[in-house]
Amino acid sequence: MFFQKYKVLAFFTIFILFVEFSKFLSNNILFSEELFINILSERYSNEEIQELFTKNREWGWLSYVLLPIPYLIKFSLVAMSLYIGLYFSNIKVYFKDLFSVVIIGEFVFFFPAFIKITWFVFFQPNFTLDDLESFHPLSAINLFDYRQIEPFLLYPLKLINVFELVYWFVLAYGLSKVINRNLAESMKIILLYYGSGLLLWVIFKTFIYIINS
Amino acid sequence: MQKKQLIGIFLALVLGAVSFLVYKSVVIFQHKKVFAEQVKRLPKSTNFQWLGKQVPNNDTPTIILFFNPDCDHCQYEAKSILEHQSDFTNTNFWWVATVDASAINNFSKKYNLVSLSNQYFAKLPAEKVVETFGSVSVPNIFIYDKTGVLQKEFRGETKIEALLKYTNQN
Repeated sequence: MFFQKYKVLAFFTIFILFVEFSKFLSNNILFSEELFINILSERYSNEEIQELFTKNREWGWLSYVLLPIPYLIKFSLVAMSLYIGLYFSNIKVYFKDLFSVVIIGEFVFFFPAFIKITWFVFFQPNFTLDDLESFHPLSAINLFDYRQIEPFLLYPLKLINVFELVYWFVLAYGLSKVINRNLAESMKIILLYYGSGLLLWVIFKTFIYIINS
Repeated sequence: MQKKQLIGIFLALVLGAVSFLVYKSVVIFQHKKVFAEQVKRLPKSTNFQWLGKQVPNNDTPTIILFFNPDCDHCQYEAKSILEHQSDFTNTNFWWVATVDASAINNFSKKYNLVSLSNQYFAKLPAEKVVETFGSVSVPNIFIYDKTGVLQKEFRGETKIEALLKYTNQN
């Protein structure tokens, strides 16, 4: 009863705990200070690097505290795109149910994060920052030479990956349960409305990148 | 209004926004690409308004420092270069800023750079910055070899060892 009432909040809290844990592992195992020393030492003195690390240790906690905000915005936008689609399709639904579906779908993206940590801990323990940045399992970016691609294409190419596809299917499945329709109908809504939103977002982000580059 | 019409308007808006952003992205990208190619070669010295002595046409590595006299990181860079002046005897430094000539002159005097034979100061009108360097920050450092080919660009404060590394003097 309690869980049903606060289902969305519970899903969101569990999700954020997973993200925080994943970020903690990633920061401590992959993106360690030693990894950055090699890169920073080219242009900064040891004192400046230590100062940077000290500031990072002092304020690093803030990134954990603020972490829910971007996810809250992302989930709201995705749920909103689906809500618009359902409104146009004359299907009535609660926004909170769509929000729950979106949160559940997002769990898919823990798999590439888990694969990345596992890969660099067990299979390639001597890695550089470049190795980390160019590691995107089952992504379209692997079809190209990472260093030869125009930087503004990196984000769109990273986004085309198997996990994104699975995410779409999870969304469609979740939606079909919420609206009591078949998977094909749900997928049509996902493709049309979430797809349009995602396309607009990718192009907007690329545009901002080009302006600031 | 019919739902079908609404769907049509929605899709037309998305398509319109996507088309507009793609068009603007392509235009800006092509524009920036031209500047990015341009900066790979040492800019002509005639593009700048030199204050004091003029740069000679000798075959030496050149470091262009795009700076602002009030910027802390630029002041740090000036102090470091002065301290390590003996390491840069065969390198010309072009200090370029968009501010008033008097502010540039004060900076060169304050950090004793004006007395060094390889330090040159110039003013570049703000409207010419983009066409000369593309998008820049302060300090922005461009290191060219003796043939005038860009070896490295650093945005922000950069330690002396990095400058030396790319002028091949260490």
